[in-house]
Order: sequence, then C-alpha cells, then structure tokens
Amino acid sequence: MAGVLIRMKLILLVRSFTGTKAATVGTGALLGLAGALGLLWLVSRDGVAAGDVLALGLTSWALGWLGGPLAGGGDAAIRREHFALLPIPTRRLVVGLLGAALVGVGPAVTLVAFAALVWYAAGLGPAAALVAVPAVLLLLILLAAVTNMLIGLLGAVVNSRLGAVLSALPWAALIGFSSQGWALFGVRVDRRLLAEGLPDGVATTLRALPPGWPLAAVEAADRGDWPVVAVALAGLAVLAATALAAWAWLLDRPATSPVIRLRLRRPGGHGVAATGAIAAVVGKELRTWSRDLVRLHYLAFAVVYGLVFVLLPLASGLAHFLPLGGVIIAVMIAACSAHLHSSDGTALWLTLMLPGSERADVRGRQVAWLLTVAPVAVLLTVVGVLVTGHGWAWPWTTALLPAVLGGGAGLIVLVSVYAPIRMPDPHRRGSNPGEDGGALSGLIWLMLGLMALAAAPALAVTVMGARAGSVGLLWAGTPVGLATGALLFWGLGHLAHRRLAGRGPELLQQIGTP
Amino acid sequence: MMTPPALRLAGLVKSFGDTTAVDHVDLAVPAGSFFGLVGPNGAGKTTTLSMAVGLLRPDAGDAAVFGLDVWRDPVEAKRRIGVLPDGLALPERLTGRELLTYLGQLRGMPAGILAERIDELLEVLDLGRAEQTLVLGYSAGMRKKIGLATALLHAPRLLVLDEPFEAVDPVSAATIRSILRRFVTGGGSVVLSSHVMPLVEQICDHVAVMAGGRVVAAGPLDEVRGGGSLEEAFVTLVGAPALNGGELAWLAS
Repeated sequence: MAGVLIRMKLILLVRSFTGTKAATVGTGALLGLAGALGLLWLVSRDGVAAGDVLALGLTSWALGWLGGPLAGGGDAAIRREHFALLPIPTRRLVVGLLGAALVGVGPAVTLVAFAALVWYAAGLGPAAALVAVPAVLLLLILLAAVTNMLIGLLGAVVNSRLGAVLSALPWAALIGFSSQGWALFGVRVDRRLLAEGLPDGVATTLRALPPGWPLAAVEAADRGDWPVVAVALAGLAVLAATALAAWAWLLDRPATSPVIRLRLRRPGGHGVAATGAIAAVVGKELRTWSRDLVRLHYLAFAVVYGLVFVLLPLASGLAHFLPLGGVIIAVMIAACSAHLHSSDGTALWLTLMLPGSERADVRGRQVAWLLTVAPVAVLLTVVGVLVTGHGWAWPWTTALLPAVLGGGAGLIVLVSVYAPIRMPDPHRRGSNPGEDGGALSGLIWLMLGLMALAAAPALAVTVMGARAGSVGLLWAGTPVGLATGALLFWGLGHLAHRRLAGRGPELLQQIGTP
Repeated sequence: MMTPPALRLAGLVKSFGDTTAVDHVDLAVPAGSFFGLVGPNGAGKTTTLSMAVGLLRPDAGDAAVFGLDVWRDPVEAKRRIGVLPDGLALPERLTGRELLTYLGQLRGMPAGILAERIDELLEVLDLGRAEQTLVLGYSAGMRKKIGLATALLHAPRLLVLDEPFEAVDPVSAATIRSILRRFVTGGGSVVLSSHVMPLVEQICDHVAVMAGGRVVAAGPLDEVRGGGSLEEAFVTLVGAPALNGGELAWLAS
C-alpha cells in the first residue's frame, strides 16, 4: 500500500512541476535549503552555542510544518476521497498516506536541516550520533503525522462560516507568535546569542517541548543519562502514533463539501437598489466576501495575525507596534487576496460573454475589497494611536495607510489577472480550504514583496523627515501616500482590466479545468 | 437579401499540445433552426462550441453570429448569444435570484423589466423553492436550469447549449424542451450538443455529427439519418468497435 502511494506521489510531483506551481515550489525549496544549510553551517562553527542554536532551529522548523497547511501547503496531490470506494482498512491507508506524505520537497529539505543535529551529535561521540539518527527520523514522522492530522481537523471544522473563521485563529496566533515571540522572552537576537546561548529558562523550555526532544536525547546520550534518552525517544514515538490514530479517526468521517444555507431576512425581496455594472460587481463581491469560506478563513487569519503581531510586544512593555496594527492587517489581507479570479474559477466565462464588463469586474472587485478592509484598518489605526497615546505615529500611519490600501486594491486585481493559479472550482472543492489553496502561499509571498514596494515611497519620505527632524518633510509622507495609493488603485486596475479584455480566454484556460 | 446564418463556423482549428481537438470545422446553423451537434466523447464538440461563442481563441478560422464576427465585433455578436457551458462555475456564493439580478445589472437592464423576467424564469424553471440556497448547493439538474436562466435572461437570438440535458430529471427535461421549442417557434435559433440520439432526433430539425475533431456529416435531420434512425447513421459514420463475444470472459466466472 505505502509503496503504491509513494510511487503515485512521485509521479504526481513530477507532473505537477509546471508553471506557477513549479516556480513557487522551486523558490520554497531553495529558501528552505538555504535555511537548512545555514543551520548546518552555524552548528559546525567554533565558538557557537550549538545546542541552543539547534533548539531554536528544530522549533522553527516544527512551527513551519504546523503553519504550512494554512498557507496552502496542504498536500492536495493524494486525497482521502480518491480511496473512498476501495476496500482498504483505514489503518493501512493512513500508513500509506503517511509514506506518501514523507515523499516530497518539504520532507527532503527538513531532513537536510535535521542533519545538523546528527552532525552535532557526531561531534559529541558515537553514542550520541547513534541516538540522533532515530530521533530526527521520529521527529520528521511526528511532524508529517501532526500536520496531516491538523489538515483533517481543519476539514472537519471548516464547514460553516463560523468554523472557517475559528479555524484560522490558532494558525494566525501561531505564525504571529513565531514572528514576534522574541518579545515574550525579552530575547535579543544578535551575535551574543550565538556565542553565549539562550537564557537558561528559554533553553530548558525549548528542550522540554516535543521538537526539542531529539536534542534532549542526544545531549542525554552524551552524558550517559540513558533513562532520559529512552523517555525522549519513546515520547516521540508515542506522540507520532497518537497523531496517526487521530488522523485515521478523522479520515473515517465522510468527506463533504461545505454548503451554506442562508436565512435571508427578506426572502423574495429584490433588495438591491443600486444600479450600474460596477455597483452590481460590488454587490456580488461583498456577498462573496461574507459567504466564501476560503475568503473568510484568510480574512480572519490576517486580522488575528495582525493583532498578535502588535499586541505580543506589549508583554515586554513595547506599545510601538500598536498604532501600526491597521497598516499590518491591511498588508496581510492584501497578501491573502490576490487569488480573486483564481478562486472564482471558471465563473470568468460570464465576464467574457459580456464584452465591456471587464472594467466593471475589476473596479467592482477593487471597491468591494476597499469597503471590506478599509473600515477595519482605519478603525484599528485610530484606536491604536489613541489608546497608546503615541501621537508620533500619526504622520507614519496617515502616510502608510492610504499607500497600502490603494496599493493593495490595485495589486490584488493585477496579480489576480497576471498570475493565475489553478484551484478547484468552488463547486468541486474538497472539505478543506487549506488544501484547496494550492499554490496560494507563493502568491502570498509575492504580494508581501509587492506591498513593500507600494509602501516604499511614502515610507521613504516619512523616514527622511524623521531623520532630518523636519516636521514639514515628515508630514509630506501623507500626500505622497495618498498619491501613490490613488495612482496604484487607478493605474494597476486599468492594467488589469485591459489585460482581462485582451487575454480573457487565455486566462480562462489557465484557471479552468474544463 | 438572404438572412445570414445564426452561426457560421469557417475553418476552425484548435490544438492542445500535439492533439488536434478541432480540425478545420465548417458549419452553418440556419437562422430559426433547432440544431443538434452529436458525437462521441472527445469528438471536439465542447471545444468547437467554446470557440463559436468566444470563450476559447481558435488557432485558425472564424466564427460569426448573424454575420457578426465573434472575435472582431464581440460586443454586438455576444449580445445576441445566450450560452450554457457544460461544467463551468457560476458566481457560486449567490442565490439563484441574486445571480440573475447581478447579471441583469451587469448588462444594464432596467430594474423593473429585470425583476419581472427573473420572477418568471424562476417560476417556469421551478427554481422558486431554492431561493434560500446558494448556487454552490444546487444539484446537477438545478445547476443546468439556473444556467439556462442566465442564458435566457437578456433575450438572445441564438442559444448555444453544451449538454443541456445531462443529469437533468425527466420532468425538468420536459420543461427545458418546451422552453426551447417555444424559443425556436418565436424565431430564435438553438444549437445544442448531446450524446442522446433519440432526444436529438425528437427535438432537432438539423444535425451535425462530429468525430475526431471533424464534422463528418451535417444538414437537415432527414438527410443525415437517411432512411434509418439517427443512432444507426451515427454508428455508421463514427464507427463502433465490433465485439466478437469472447471479450471480458472473466466477468462471467
């Protein structure tokens, strides 16, 4: 069973390595490999507290595995649904699926990173090295099992709008924590950390958590503390088995795609008073934003991530991030919104059958996005500044907010039209928005980079003003932000609807699965 | 002056990689006709219809609707067409009524006329009960019916329907048939593709048979089927593998 599924996975991997997907997988693999080799390099250097560096490294990789499914890293290649009619016991299927999950770019790169622990152990002695090998393999299996269990759990929870929102919370908190977690410990990441290691409490905590167990086992073997070695290895095995059992239990649940039944307040009412093509698209888009589980999921993710990002530093008494909450959330939502045409799928044919409606399609999507995001972002900004009393933040926020809102509204439609990704049509989706995201994580990174460019002019002027101590230059950032926002909204939207009108059928083919 | 055909395809070609899906297709659908396009799976019916209505750019050839070129004069040509594609998505997060309202507004239809037409379409197609359900939650048959409603909404002169009866229950199929008949009686033209020969024979007055990306026969129904049934003519034209009775012997054990 495992052999068959692994061969199937390898074939799918090779076949799917085309277009946008190849680019994102390739970039991801290169970045991951760079990180893995960096870890190896750090650990093999003299004068480095290698143990603590490894503790941080293993924990970061584990967080990356857990965060993967949210960003569309879920493995859509081989699905439970494919085996629904085959008489295979769930236990064998889970082992097979686990085998298939361990074949891929991610596990390979992870193994390279984990080799750093083996390298470190080899330096300690043969006994430690002997313990290191099974320990890292067990950790890899544990991570694959937990990730798949979480994907299954997501599928079980996300069948309603509330579920879509709630399931985004832990991911957002996790990723927010991994980007701002330093603040909790008051740890400064710098050269001294490498040489002297982590504060004792942090070092112990990281070794006591499951991702640190292989390291704990290796160091115990070096000390000759065999009971600890046994407990650490057995603990990894038991956790992996538990995760597999949970995954198997989740697989036994029927796979259904979520459907919303509405309770309309005015059934039969014609409701919409607005007329005109753009207003029609705005109406459709606003409804979609409030009803599409994938969009709701990412919306909730962006808001919670932003909140964690600005609130966590408060733990160390840092309130400086709070006024920027609105800006950060706007950037994150924009990053998660560049799949508009891709996630609408082949519904694009309706726009193509109505030549001249391309402009309304693009402008309507832009306006609806702004109507969804701007109130939240503005409110958070105002509240953030007022609550903290950080009045210095006004020129920064009034410069950045219009730039990222206008830039975001321009970029999402441009990227949506120019960089389509293949997603299953809404009516053919499986039970998990994370799985259906496909190459979405690539789009998110691309958008984060582009959003930085959009904010650059306003930021540059404001920074120059702050450096020079010139109030005039500081506030000059605001008109620059307004101008870049307006220009990007109009200009990129113009490019997008020109492209849609000129190359619509080609876009439909790239998106479509006819 | 002769009226131009409702749909004229001239030398349409489309290749996907090494496969030629549509290989120099010429076809004329007379105005006012009920035209059936039949052929086995993979014959190129969907690809041909997609190019005919402007959803897929041909490698070569032209498509014209009432003499208007679909690619050079898309606004005027597409105004006259209503399309029901097979298996494509709709704005799935809208209810049926919201979907039709959205499309009508996108076309700039006056609110009063739009509301009247939507009421009537939902009533006739028996979709009134589904007003609480998003299109996403529709059954296969309901999807076909709401698709037909979107095709009819702007009162086109030519309907292009890809497999309109697939997965539709007999009662709904009868409703759709009578709507289409009335549409043709009122001067409209219909092109539909189907696998179901008896159905095509029953409702169409013209047929074309496609196989391997080419049109192997086309014309008035009686001409194409000769003396026999359409199914016999189809099998003769397309060819069917002869079974000698010895295959799949293991199934009998």
